[in-house]
Amino acid sequence: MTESVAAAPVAGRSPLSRLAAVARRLPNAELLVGLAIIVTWTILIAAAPVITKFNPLAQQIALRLQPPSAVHWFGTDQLGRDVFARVLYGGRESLPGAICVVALGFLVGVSLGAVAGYCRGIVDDVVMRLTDMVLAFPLIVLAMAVAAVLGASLMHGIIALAAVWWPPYVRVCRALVLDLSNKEYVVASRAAGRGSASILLRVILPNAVPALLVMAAIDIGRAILSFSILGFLGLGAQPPQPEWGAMVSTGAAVMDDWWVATFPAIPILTLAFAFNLIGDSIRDALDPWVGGRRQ
Amino acid sequence: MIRYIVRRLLLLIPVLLGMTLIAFAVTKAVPTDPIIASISQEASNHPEIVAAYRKEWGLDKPLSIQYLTYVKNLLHGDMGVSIYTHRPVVDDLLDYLPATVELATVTIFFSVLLSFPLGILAAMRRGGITDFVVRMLTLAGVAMPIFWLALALLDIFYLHLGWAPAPGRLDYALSPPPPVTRLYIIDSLIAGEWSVAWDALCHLALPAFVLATWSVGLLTRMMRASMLSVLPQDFLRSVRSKGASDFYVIRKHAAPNAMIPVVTVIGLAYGDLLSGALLVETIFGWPGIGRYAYNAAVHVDFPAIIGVALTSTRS
Repeated sequence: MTESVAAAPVAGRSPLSRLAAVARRLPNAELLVGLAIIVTWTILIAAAPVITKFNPLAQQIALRLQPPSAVHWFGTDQLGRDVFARVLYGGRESLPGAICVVALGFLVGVSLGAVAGYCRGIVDDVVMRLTDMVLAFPLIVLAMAVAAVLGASLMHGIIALAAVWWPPYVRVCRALVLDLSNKEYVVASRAAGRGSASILLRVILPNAVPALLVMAAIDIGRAILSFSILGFLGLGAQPPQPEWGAMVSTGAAVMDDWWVATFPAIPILTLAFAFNLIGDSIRDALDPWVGGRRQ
Repeated sequence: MIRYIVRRLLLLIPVLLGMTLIAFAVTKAVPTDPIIASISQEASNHPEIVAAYRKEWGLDKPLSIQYLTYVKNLLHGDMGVSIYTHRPVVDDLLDYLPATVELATVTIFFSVLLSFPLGILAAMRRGGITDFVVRMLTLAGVAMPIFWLALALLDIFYLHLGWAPAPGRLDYALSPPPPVTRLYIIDSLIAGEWSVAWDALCHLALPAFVLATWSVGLLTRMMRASMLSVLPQDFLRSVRSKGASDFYVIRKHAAPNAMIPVVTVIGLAYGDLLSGALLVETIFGWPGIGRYAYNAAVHVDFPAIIGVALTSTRS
């Protein structure tokens, strides 16, 4: 009863009260588990120098391929480097890298989408066809080609993924701007004499951005996966720098010493899982049909 | 309807042309000269050899002419010659594509077989333990770094247990069946070579399983969501009120309606399998388009990249 009251008049209110209405309906347990996984990894990665005394680059050839033990929690790799330390320090490449990819894709996509949705006409056509073209490529193949052209490095891997990451944001942002342009308050501010740029930046976009930010936050999981694929293929961070995808690739040569390849795969799996879990609970809360008809 | 289809198809032309333009722009941005990579160190010291090579490949002409020549040839069905394999891209694609089509088709077939019932079951038991288990497993499938899964399964089932055959499409002792469709399983069945068909299927099992973790996850989640949006609708209540059994309501009314949006996604998922196929084929030594795409991208092989993109385009 209270739920349907909270859910119904969502449309015309401020973004803040709308977020509050969403928060009240979230199935909390899964959201919290997802957040807990992300926060745990973030703390582990940020506090790496405190948690482990090993240097991720220090080689001890005498101690190569040691199985997990009390000293080396995740064992050691072919060069005797501590895998636990490498996983934690590797997060300092993978996690910010994935966030940068999404942030860049978000900036490019939202700017293009906002302009396309607001200007319409020929600008809209050109932007949307360009978006279609990039979307038509198999994502990872185009990203690999861009990374290969630029030369393999961490920075170039980020740029290559961002270059294929923006199209979904254009589509969603354009749809939101098209929808919001017809709202009374936009018409009203035009009648009040606001300029076009000001209407787009100060009136329309603030109402479109919250939804896009949610989309971007969930997207980080997918970015972590894609980023690790580039790393695995040797087009991301270069050795000896630790990066999760590249570490799995190192471990591929010694699969019998399972810990070398498996432990770097765990943060990729758990983080992608956690971001998807959060995405699911937000989607469940927002979609009136998937939520089931309320009596 | 026909007008709509024709309009969509015509809109496809600028998109495809644009794809070639993007790939062209990307590959021409290479700071290193593709010539140096293609000819020997010694030959690259002789300017006249380099010049002759450039002339032969048309690389001495302005970029705009190079691009127009490429598009003209493309319209005649000529995708150019791969810089990496030195073979016509069309021949390469004909060689590599069937292996991937075989892999992707088997993967999608079993994914659909598994994910539709799972999605329906999860939706019917919404909030229950079955739903929870299905959702967590499929979520893990979508989040799985499949390159690690492929390595781990290959190590366990091939090296240790010996249940799976060595990487590749067929055992070395067997020769491929006479090419009709170039899909080994179908060709060997046509030729009546049962043992070859069985061997091809065995080789397919592990890579298809790895690819399917992703597609089963995706399709089950979509089927569940679609089913949940169909279940509360009025027409189902009407059917139920007439006394129809639960099974009948689901099978005849709810499931067919819920399948519609998912079936349209299967086409997209089929194209998206290529990203997964790229990793799986590289790891399993599968001579398919994914491995070809990997080599094309790494060597910035413009005609090959466009060839791959055009055969696996999602539009």
